Amino acid sequence: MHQFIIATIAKWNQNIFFKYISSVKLAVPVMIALIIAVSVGTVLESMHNAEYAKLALYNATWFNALLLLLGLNVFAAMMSRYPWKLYQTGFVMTHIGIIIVLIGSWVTKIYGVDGSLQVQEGQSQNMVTLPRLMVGYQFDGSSTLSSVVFDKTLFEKSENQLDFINDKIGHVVKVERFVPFAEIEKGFATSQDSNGPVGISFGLKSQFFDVKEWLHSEENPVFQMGPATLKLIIDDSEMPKNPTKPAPVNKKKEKAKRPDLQTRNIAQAENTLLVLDQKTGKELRKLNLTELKKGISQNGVNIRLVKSYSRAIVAENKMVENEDPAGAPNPALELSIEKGNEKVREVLYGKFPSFSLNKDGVFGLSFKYMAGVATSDTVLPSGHPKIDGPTTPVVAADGQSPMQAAAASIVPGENIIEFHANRKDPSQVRIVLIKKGEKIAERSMKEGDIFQTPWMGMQLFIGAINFGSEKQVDVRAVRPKPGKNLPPSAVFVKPLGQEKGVWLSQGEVKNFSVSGRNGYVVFANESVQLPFELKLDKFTKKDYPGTETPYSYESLVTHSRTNEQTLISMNEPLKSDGYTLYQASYALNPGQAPVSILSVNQDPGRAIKYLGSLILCLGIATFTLMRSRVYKNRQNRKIV
Amino acid sequence: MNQLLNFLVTVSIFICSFNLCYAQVSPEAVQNPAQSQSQPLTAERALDESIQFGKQIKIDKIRTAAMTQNGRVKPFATFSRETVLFITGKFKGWGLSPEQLYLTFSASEAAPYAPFIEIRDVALRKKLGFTADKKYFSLADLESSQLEKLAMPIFQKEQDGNKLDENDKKVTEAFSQMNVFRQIALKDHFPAAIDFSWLEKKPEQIVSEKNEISQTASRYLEALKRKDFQFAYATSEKLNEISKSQPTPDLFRHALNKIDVEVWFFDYRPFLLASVVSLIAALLLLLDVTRNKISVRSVFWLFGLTMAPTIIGLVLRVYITRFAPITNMYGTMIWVAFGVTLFSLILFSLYKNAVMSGFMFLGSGLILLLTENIPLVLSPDMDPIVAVLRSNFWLATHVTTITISYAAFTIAMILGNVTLVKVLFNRMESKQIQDFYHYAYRMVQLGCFLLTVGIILGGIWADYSWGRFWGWDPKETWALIADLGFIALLHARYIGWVTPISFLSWLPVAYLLVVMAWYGVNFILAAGLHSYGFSSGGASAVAIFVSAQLLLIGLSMLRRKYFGRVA
Repeated sequence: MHQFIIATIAKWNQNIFFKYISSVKLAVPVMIALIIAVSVGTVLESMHNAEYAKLALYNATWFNALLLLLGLNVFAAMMSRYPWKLYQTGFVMTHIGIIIVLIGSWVTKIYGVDGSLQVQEGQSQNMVTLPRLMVGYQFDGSSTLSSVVFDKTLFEKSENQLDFINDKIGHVVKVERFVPFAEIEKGFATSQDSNGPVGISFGLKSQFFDVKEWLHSEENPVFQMGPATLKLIIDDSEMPKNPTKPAPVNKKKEKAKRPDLQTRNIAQAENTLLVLDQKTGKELRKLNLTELKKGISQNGVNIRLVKSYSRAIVAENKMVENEDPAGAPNPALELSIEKGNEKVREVLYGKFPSFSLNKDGVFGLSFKYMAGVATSDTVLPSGHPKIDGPTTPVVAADGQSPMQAAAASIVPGENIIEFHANRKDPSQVRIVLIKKGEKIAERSMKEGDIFQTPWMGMQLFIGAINFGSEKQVDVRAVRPKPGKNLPPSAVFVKPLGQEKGVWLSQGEVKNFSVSGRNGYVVFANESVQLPFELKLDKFTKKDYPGTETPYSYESLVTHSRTNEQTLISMNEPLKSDGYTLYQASYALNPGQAPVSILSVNQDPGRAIKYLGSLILCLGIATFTLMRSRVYKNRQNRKIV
Repeated sequence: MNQLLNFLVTVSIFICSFNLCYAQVSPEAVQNPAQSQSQPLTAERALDESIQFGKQIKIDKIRTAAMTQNGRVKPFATFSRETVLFITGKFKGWGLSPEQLYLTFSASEAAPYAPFIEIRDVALRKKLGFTADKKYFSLADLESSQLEKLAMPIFQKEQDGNKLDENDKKVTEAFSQMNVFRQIALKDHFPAAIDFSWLEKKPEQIVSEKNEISQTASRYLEALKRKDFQFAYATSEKLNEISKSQPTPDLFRHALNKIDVEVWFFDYRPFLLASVVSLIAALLLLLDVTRNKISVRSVFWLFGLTMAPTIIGLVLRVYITRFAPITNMYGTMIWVAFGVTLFSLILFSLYKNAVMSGFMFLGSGLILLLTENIPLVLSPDMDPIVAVLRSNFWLATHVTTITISYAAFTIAMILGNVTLVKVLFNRMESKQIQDFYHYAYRMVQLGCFLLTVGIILGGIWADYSWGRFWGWDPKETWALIADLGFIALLHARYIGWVTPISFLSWLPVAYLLVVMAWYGVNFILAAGLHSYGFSSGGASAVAIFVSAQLLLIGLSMLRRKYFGRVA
């Protein structure tokens, strides 16, 4: 055997190709090429983010081919020197080490799982979100989701590049386009069908806000704007039933919609209160919430935080926190301002810095609340890995209209604005204003009419009344901009037999019907379900006292099968069923249960990589030591 | 001739480095009287009055009072040093200690009209309507300028989730400097930091409650304001006492006993001492006159004298912070300087080459001197570290291994640069080339070994705490790039692509990869998971280093091309 290898190697060493592959003359250029490639990768990551750098470089075929070439070169170089002499021990060990590490990384890449699991305190979760994308459909009443998983790419894919998807699900839902980065615009348009759903565009204007919105009988017939509820009511009772009425939601679909939690934000960290001189408008103090909680004194006036809100709504004449995580972000502060025996209440809204309960100031001071208005951006505390995979929220959670927040500042109490539409008289709507169950105003309005309401000078404006109004989604492929979040991906799908296709953006679920069967189609990140559920009993974040810099955070979880309680913290993962769950990050919103973000990992290549690393390190050490004077002198002595 | 050259190199670098120190403490620019006429006081008079005021404050009691800032307990001495540095760009000045300066800002009625706030950006000075050569401004100057108007939209921009560019950051920095000064002058800053008893209370307990410590702090400032320095001194003693006996969070309690040690550490600056000793040793070993009189034994003594203060400093930092002393850029620079001395000690004990050791003393001395003198870029603060780093085992293995490998590469780089300079002047002897080549080769080997081990340890740590071994994160990627660069050089040497002299010439080029991995990722790319060290500044210093390096390499190459090969 030994002789055979020697003979084979000797033969190979005659081969020009093998000679080149095994030569150091190849190794140096390959190393330099790697240096150039990955340094470009780090610049891309700096401009965009880690996901973009992965798409552009680290996942690219040519880059992996380069790594393969390096592996081949190392292997060939090692083999070409067979049989090895004693002095080559270090050389052989380092090169074997590198090959084993490369094999280990390859095993991880192919067979490993690296995803994230998000769970809110008090709830259980077993769904792990992975970086790859998935398109699938499911019929109502069926228990299986037919889906295809694919890699996100940097480039758009047209129909003929999507055969691998359509081969599997194309007989029901055909995917016609994949856009890696999409800008999505939503609006409503008049349709030919005058018996279709009703859409009314309107505007609300006061000294504090100016918003334009739509009410739509199917998409959003009821619109909660903080304290005010806007309702579209269609008065003619014999309205034809619309065939495309949303199908009842089944449990499976709820699961698919879960990525909701990814709309996370840590608003508190950035919020500041500016204390200004009422007359000059000069800024006197800039306070963060921690300082404010402590209570401060300015010009003999004591300023105290009563409560801070991230989703303020006014219910029953009181300002409260909206516990619904899908509610519109509406950061607000309630302050108590005291001077001597006088006490004044002040409410400030992040979205409306100039709003104040006390327009002439309080004791010569005025206030501005600068809140990092909650967005869907993923804000991770520094020093922690970004979770690979979706950073985009489910688009359906679109309660983010500024109007909702605006309404919270109109008037306290249960306010309803009803829009009554009637097919028998399509030219106008009847507006009814209701406060605490009492009708306080009523008026019919045509397109273009303006109604001066009795509420704090608020004006209502009717833009359009459409009987037969369709939601329109416009999707454009865009280039990611440096320094901004990556736009979500989108696919254009066409259920068979249906004339029109629909756009789905990452995380979206839509109903469809094919030859009388109803179902839904989904486009989201690939997910796997763990064989067990984790219930988050308690999430704890501890800060360095007096700062908002965390020094530890940990999740107390209960395993659904063993019923054991475990504490997962930084550097203390939980291991179960071959998966390891790490405390990666968290999302805290005032007034909401905290969300813990765990990274879930299964790495069959781990042992291989560790073995390779060990051999590599020992190899370099051996190499260095065997070149040392001490060692050489001893060898020489032996020979003598 | 050889000696003269060594001497010239040494002296010119000395001059450069002293210029650098001097720039830090140079007196401020001349006042512009037209600017100050609208004020009740002229700027000169306000400054005079402030200085006179400051000189009368006795600080020996107050400087060891316990304060909190940025999540740790520190002595007032450190607190005032850091605050004064932020506002004025230097630790002390105008003949006043940092403590005196801080208390002057707070209690002197003239201070808001005296130019103490340093606007570091020349373009910003012009934008604010000042002359470009005036560096310091008073609170009153800045409050009547456009600074606030410039800053507000930028804060809004930040809140809207946009990245700020360099110019934006300069404006917000200037605004924050003004704002901190204002808070100090409003006498809010000091009581808020010395009273940390509220940290231990529940929110409902702390509402506008006046306690003994904050009352005493206010009384102290009031006494200073009245210029009742006797009473103030007596109050400062009491303040010191109760600052240490107030309710303290568990995490802070250990620090209360270390306050005197910390004050001692910053008073004596052991790393600065090490740098001076190191530079003297360099001078002794690089001049033929002195070198010939120094025995091998004395060289070992020089090594010992340089390393002793560094070790003491490092031990103290570990004692005070309870973490390995490599949690920020400053810490790693000190550590690398220490590594350079340590590895050159090993080289010296093997090869007894005093000239080489002299260059290494010069190198480590300059690194230490630089580190100690640009506190705005390399902050010597001991502020706490982020959650993920709170693991002494990994910090002490992974980070120390990586950074000590940079020390080995630094030695190789210095050898390379000495060669380049000597080639430029055609003063390289072939014996010396062979020697340097061998030392550099061994150092690159050692560096590659340590860096590979460090990268792998980092992978294991990442695996252990994040769940992945390798993720092409910029910091880990650049460490790999630096490693690959030197490994490529070793391979090129193996197949004879580089001669000894070109091997030595390539070392400074490869070292630029180390500079990128060490400094560039955090300060230029500012991306990725290793986000704890992110900072800015120092870009111009690094740019000068890189361009000087490239120029030297270029000149040396031309020299060899047109005037024949040496050796």
